[in-house]
Amino acid sequence: MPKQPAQQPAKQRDLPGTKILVDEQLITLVARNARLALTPEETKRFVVQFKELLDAFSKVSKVPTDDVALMIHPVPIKNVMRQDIVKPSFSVETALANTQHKKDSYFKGPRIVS
Amino acid sequence: MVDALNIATFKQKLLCGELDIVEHTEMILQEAEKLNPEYHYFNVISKDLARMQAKELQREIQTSLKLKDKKKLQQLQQKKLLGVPISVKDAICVKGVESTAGSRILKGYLPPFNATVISRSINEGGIIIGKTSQDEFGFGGFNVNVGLDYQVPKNPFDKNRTTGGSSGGGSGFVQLTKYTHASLTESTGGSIVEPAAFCGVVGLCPTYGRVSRYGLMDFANSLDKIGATGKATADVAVLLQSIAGFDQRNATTTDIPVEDYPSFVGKPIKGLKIGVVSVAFGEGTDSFVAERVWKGIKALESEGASYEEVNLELPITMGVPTYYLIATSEASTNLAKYCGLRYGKHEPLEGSFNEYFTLVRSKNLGEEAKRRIMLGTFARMAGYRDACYLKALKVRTKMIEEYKKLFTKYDVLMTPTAPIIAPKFDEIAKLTPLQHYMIDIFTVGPNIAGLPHISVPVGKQNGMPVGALAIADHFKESTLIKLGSVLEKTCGAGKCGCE
Repeated sequence: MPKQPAQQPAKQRDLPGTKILVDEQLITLVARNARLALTPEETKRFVVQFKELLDAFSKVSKVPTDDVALMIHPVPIKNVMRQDIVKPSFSVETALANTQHKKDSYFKGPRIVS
Repeated sequence: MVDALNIATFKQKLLCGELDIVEHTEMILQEAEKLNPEYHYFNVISKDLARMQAKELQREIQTSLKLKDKKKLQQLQQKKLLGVPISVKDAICVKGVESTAGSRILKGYLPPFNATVISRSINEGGIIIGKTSQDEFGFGGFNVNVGLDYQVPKNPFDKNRTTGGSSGGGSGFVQLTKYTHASLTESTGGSIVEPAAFCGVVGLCPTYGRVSRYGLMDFANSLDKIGATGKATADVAVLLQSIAGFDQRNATTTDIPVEDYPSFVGKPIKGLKIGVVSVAFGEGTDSFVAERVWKGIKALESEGASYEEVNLELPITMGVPTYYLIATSEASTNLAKYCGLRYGKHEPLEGSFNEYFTLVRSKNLGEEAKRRIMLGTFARMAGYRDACYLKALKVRTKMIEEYKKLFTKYDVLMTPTAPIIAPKFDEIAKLTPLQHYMIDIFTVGPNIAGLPHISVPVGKQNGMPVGALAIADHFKESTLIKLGSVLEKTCGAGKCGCE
């Protein structure tokens, strides 16, 4: 798997509607943020495809939306609260049944701090 | 054995002892196994589960008949899906049955619980026969974006063509099976109706929040809806009735009462007002597709409906970019949980967390999944988020307003489900991702707005089915069921001049 470059802040801050500079640097940065390691061929392919896609998607900038509220859900959703009461849930064995990485009653993960 | 009875007739025959659940289940399992090497409709055929459920139900019926236990027989009669084989899109969790959403990254995952739609289907007497093929996590319109190691399903009318996606396996099997059956399918941007149209069956996508998403592997949680696909609108109405309604495990379900959907089948449509989205019949839509859908609309007119041509601006012109900005943004976060720790594919625990996570995802996700995760990651990145993701959510508001305004005047809006018939695989292979995404042009609008919509076959062109799409206002599924049942009666195969 190709080694990934160190993260760099995105220099481009162009809004859709203006030309977004899509190059290997941008694709590599996005891939890194997405926790994906791309092969050189994938990177090249995505540069071409993202140019076409982001150019097409930039059309949304033409829609006037001043003073328009955003809708996270398409229908009104009420906030739902429940009483804080303990209910039966999965046993530890059931919760761990699908993992290969476990120790005692816990999931075992890779190290987070070097 | 009687071929493909509708659910209501099937149930009657079971309860008077004319049909045997175990035998019927065995026949459809054998059929699925026979078709699968050729058509690839199932990722898993859940034989043991189906046989166990069938035997249990058969025992209950036989005991009740033998003891003349009227109360128990009445309870069984009330089960809406008694003995009906149900296939399930792979993204919906079935306890103890491998569920992967068509992705290698979840290979081997055996859910320890049932999705709410599965619990409700089983509670209504449904028999779960297997997990159907789909684009990986629903990422596609042609079902060619299956996960690594999975096979692409083939159109039941022409094996060189697509079933449509992403609920392609379910729609294909609904068309080919000779037995009573309905399929639990799911839509984010058109994944119920589009394969229904390409396979010549009925697909109904309900209002967002009408059916619980608990146990559905999220693609985009503000867009995902579980719905129903069947040979006829009546079957789809029964399945939807069985699964709809509030679920305390899913906060986005609504407590608005569920209508008695099957009671709307065959109801007169006199006075129904149809808005025909004229732009959908023009440039970009194959003329014979437009012609067939127009014949369907005229057939509805002959049954007492009226129509006017209307303009639908934003959902058609901005639907695809808006949809992909919202859907990929949500997908890119939803898929973060598939990291080889708790379920699915694992790798040796080496390196740092980020290295491990990156390795698992890079090795086990297909190219379209990577592309959509990347697009969504980009749309949420600092500096782009306001202009991409949040902007798209505002455009969504305007689209909903546009639909709502039209629904003050019309009961339904109609377009073709897709601008073309099912394309051939070699034609799809030449498409760029953007061209691929454009197949959703008529279906993304109602999905962005969370509106219920149905695709009904309106005949064939050169042996390939054409589907008409009808969209209704929120929670007006009953209107679509009424329309669908009349449309298939007046404009189905052999009617109104079609093949």
